[in-house]
Amino acid sequence: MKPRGPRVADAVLGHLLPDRHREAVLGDLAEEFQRHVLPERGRLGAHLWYWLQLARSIWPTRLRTAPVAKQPGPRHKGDGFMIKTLSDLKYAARSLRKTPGFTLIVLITMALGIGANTAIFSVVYSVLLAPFPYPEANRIVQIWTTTPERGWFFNSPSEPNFWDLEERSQSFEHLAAYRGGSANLTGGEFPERIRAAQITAEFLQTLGVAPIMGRDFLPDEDDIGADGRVVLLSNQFWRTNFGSDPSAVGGSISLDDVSHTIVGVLPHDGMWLENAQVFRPLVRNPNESRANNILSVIGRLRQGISSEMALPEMQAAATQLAEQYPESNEGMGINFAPASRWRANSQVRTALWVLMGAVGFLLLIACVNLANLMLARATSRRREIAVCAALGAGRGRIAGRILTESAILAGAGAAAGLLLAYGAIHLLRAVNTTAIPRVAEVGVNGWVLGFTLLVGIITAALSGLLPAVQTPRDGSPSVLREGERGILGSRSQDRLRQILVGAEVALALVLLVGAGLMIRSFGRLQRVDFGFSPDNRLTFSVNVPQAANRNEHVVALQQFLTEFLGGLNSAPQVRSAAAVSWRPLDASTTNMGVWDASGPHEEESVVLADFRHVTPGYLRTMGLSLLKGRDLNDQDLMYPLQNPPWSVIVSEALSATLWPGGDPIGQQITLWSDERAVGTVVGVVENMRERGLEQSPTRAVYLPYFGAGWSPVHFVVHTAGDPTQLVPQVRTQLADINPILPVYDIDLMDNAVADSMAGRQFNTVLMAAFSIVALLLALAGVYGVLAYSVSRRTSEIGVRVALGASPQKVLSHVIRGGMIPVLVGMLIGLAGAFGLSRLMQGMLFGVTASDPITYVSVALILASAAIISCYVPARRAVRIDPVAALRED
Amino acid sequence: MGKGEYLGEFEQLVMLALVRLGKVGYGMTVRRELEATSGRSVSIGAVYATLDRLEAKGYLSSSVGDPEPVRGGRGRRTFTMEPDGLVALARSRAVLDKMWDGVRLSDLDVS
Repeated sequence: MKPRGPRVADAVLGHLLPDRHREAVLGDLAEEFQRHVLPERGRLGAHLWYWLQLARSIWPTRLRTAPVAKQPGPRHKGDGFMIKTLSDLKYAARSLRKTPGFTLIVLITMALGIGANTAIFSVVYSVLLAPFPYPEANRIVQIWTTTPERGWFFNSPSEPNFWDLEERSQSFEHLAAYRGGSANLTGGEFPERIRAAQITAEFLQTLGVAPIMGRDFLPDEDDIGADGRVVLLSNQFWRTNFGSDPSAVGGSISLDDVSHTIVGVLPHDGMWLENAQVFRPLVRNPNESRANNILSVIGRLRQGISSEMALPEMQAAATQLAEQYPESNEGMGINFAPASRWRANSQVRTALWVLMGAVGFLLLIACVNLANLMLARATSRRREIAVCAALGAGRGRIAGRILTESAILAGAGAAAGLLLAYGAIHLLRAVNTTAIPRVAEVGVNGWVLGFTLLVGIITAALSGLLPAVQTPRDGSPSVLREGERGILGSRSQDRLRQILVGAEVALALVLLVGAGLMIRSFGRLQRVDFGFSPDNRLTFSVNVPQAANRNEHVVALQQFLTEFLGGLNSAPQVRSAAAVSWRPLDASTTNMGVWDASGPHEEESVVLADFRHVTPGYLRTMGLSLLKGRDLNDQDLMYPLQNPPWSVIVSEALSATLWPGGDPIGQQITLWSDERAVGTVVGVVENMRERGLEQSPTRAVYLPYFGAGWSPVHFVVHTAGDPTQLVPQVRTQLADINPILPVYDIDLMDNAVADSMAGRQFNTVLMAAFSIVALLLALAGVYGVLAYSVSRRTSEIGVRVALGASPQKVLSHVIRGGMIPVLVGMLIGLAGAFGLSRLMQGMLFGVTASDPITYVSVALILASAAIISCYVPARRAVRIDPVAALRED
Repeated sequence: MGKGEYLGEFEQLVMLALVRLGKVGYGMTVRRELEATSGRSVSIGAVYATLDRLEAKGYLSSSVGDPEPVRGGRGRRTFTMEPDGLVALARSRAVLDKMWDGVRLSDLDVS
C-alpha cells in the first residue's frame, strides 16, 4: 500500500478548505508528504508534520483571507459561514465560562454518558464486530456430526470419520482438522507443559492464512507413516520463548523428549492459532478409534458453493459412513456452524448487547437531563436573546448559537468521555476478566473513535435541539419592557419539562429492573449447593506422555499414581489426595450413552451421562458423601488390567433416572453405548454441579482410574491448612519420581468456583453501576425541574400562604406536583421493563424476567428516592415568607 | 491596481521564491523554497492565501493540471509570474533601495 497522509486529517482539511484551494492544497500536501517528509522524518514525524500543517493552514485560508473578498476578486462560498461559526463559537465559549457550575455539571453528565458508551462499544467492537482475521471468512464453516435421535447436534467428528468425509466431499476447497492437546517441553532447565495442538496439513489453507516466516506443513506431512517431527510456533510462543528471533525457524525444540524441527512461525489471529503454543501435524493414524469423537473440523467451501448447497452432499457421505460402521456411527448426520460463531458464545453475545443497550439508555437519560438544563438556561436568558433578536438576529442565528453551545459541550464531553473510556479499558485489560473473550484485543481504534464522535454529535443534537426549537418566534419586545416574571416558563414549556422528567424516570426504571434481575440472579447463584466443598482444596495437573504401547503406558501410569498419591496421602498436612480424569467445573466435559443393562436396549432408554475416571478416595477428597454402597478401591481396575464388568459409582441423579425408587447397588449398567462395556454399580454418591455452577447437577458415572490410562492427570488435594503451602512439596515429590514431568495449572478450588462466576459478576457489577448512575441522573432531573418550578412560583406560593394555606398543605401540594411526572414515568418504565427484560432471560439464573419481587422493590426504591428529591425544593417553598414574596413584584 | 500600492513583505517573499524557481511553480515548491532560503517555517495554507491574493491582483496567473498518483490523484495548480507582477516586484525593490540609500548598517546598531 502506498504511504499517504493521515486520512482523518485529510478529511478534516478537505471540509474546511475553501473550494478553490482544496484540490491544490491537498495534492501539495500529499506530494510533499510522500516525496520529502516521510523519508526525512519517518512515519510518526511525518504524521505530526501533516497535522501541524493542517492546524496552521485552516486559520489563514479560511479566516485571514476572508476580508480579501472585498477586493476585486470573486466572492467565494463558505467564507461567511466560517466567520459566523467562529463568532458563534466565541460567544458560546464566553457564555459557558460565565456559568462554570452549569458547564461542569453538563460536562460530567456528558463524560459519563459518552465514556460508558465508548468503553462498552470498544468491547462490542473487538468481540463481535471486528473484521475476521481470515479472508472470505463467510466461506469457512465448522463441521459437526450429529445424532438427532439422541438430541446431539454438535458432536466432534472422530479421526477416521474425518478422513473419510474429507475423501468423499466435493464442495470444499479444503477440509482440515484440529486436535487439542499438550506436550512437555523438555531440554530446558525445567520441563514445561505447553499446549501443543495437532492440525492436518491443510489447516492453515482452510483458514486462508500462511506462516509469517518459514513454511506451512507439506501435504505429505500428515500422511500415514509420516514421522510428525515438525512444528509450527504460535506467534506468542515465538515472541516469548525465542524473543522474536527469525533464526528460530530451522532450529528445533524437544517435545516429550522427542526433537521437532521448527518449520515456521504463525501469524497472530486471536482465535485458532492462539489456542495452542505449538502446532504439530495431525498424522493420519489407521488404528485410531472411530468412536473417539475428538476433532474440531473446519472447511473452506469452494467459490460459489453455499453451505446450504454443501450440506446435502456431506449428509449423504455421513449416511454412507453410518451404514458402513453402524457400531460407532449409527444415526450419524452432519451439521454446519458458520465461522462467525467463533467470536463469542451466545451468552457473551447476549450479555454484550444487553450492556450496550444499558449504556444507550444511560446516554438517553443524560441527554434528557442536558436538554432540561439547556432549556432552563435558555429560558433564564430570554432577555439576552430578545436583545439579540431586537438587534436583528434571525431566529436561525439564535438557534444556531444554542446549538453551538451544546456542540462545544458535547465536544468537550466526548473528549472527557474518551479519556474515561480509555481508563476503563485499561482497567478491564488489567483485570483480564474471563467474561470477555480475547480481552487483550480490546482497545480504542478508528472505529471506536468514530463511534465516540457519532455519540457526541447525537448528544449535541438531542440536548440542544429542543431548546433551540423553543427559541422565540418573534423579537418579543415585551420581554425587554416587562420584568422577567410575566413570560418566564410558559405553560407549554412546563409541560415539556415534565414530559422530559417522565421519560428520564421511565428509562432509569428499565435499567434498574435489568440490574435488579441480575443482582437477584447473582444472589441465587451464591446460595447454590455445589455438592462438593471447595475450601482447602488444591488442584493441579500433570501430563504423563503416552507410551507407544498402551499396556506399558497403563501400567506405568498406575505405578506413578500409586507412588505419587501414596506420598501425598502420608504427608501430615494432607487430609486426602486423589486423581481424576477431568477437572471439576471445566466447562467442557466427557460424556457417554448409558443404559440399564438388564433392561431392553431401545433408543429411549439411553441416558447421556458424564464420566470420570477417579482413584480411590476421590469422592471423599471432594467432600462428596457416599449415599449407598462403597467407594472404589485398589482392586477396582479397568481394561486392559481387568475385563468387564467393572465397578462403578453413579450419582444420585443417574440412579434416580435408571432405577427410580429401586436399589441400584449390584445393578449392571451398559457404558459408552457399547454392550460389551458393562459396569456393576457398587455405590451411589450425592450430586454435584460438575460442569459449572449454573448448570444443573449432572448424571455421572465414576469409573476406576487404573487401567484407563487417562492423561493428563488432574489432582485434587484436601489439606488441613493453607493449601498453597503444599505446592513446594508437590513439586519435589513429583521430581523425585520423574524429573521431566511438569506440574501445571496449580489452583485453589475456591478460585475455580470464583472463576466460574466471574463473567456473571462482571456483568452484574457493570449493570448495577450503570443503573445507579442512571438513577442519580434521573433524580437530579426530578430535583432540578421541581426546584426551578418552585423558584418561579415563589409569588404564587406566597399568595397561597398569605391566604392561609398550612405548611403541610404547601408541602404536599409541591411534592404532588413533582411526583406526577415521576409516577407516570414509572408506569411507562414498568411496562417497558416488562417487555425488554425478556431479551435478557438467557442471562438470568433462578429468577424469571418478570420476577415480581424485583419489580416491586425497584419501583419502591425509585419512588422513595424521587420523593426525597422533591422534598428539598418543597421545604424551600414552605419557608417562603409571603410578605417578602409579594413585595418582590 | 492603484498607484502607490506596495507589496507586503510576505507577498514579496512568495513572489521572489516564484522568480527563483524560474517564474513558474506550485504551492509545494514555493513553500519549500521559502523555508529553505528564509529559514522560516511556513504553512501551505498561508502560501496559498498569498498566491491567491496575488493572482486576484493580477500579478500571477494559475492553471490546474491533470491528476497525478503521487498527489493522491489530485491535479497541480501551477502559478506563473505575470509582467505586472514583475513590475510590482521591481518597484518594491526600487522603493526599498531608495529608502536604504544613505542608511549605513552601523546606524542600525541597537545594542
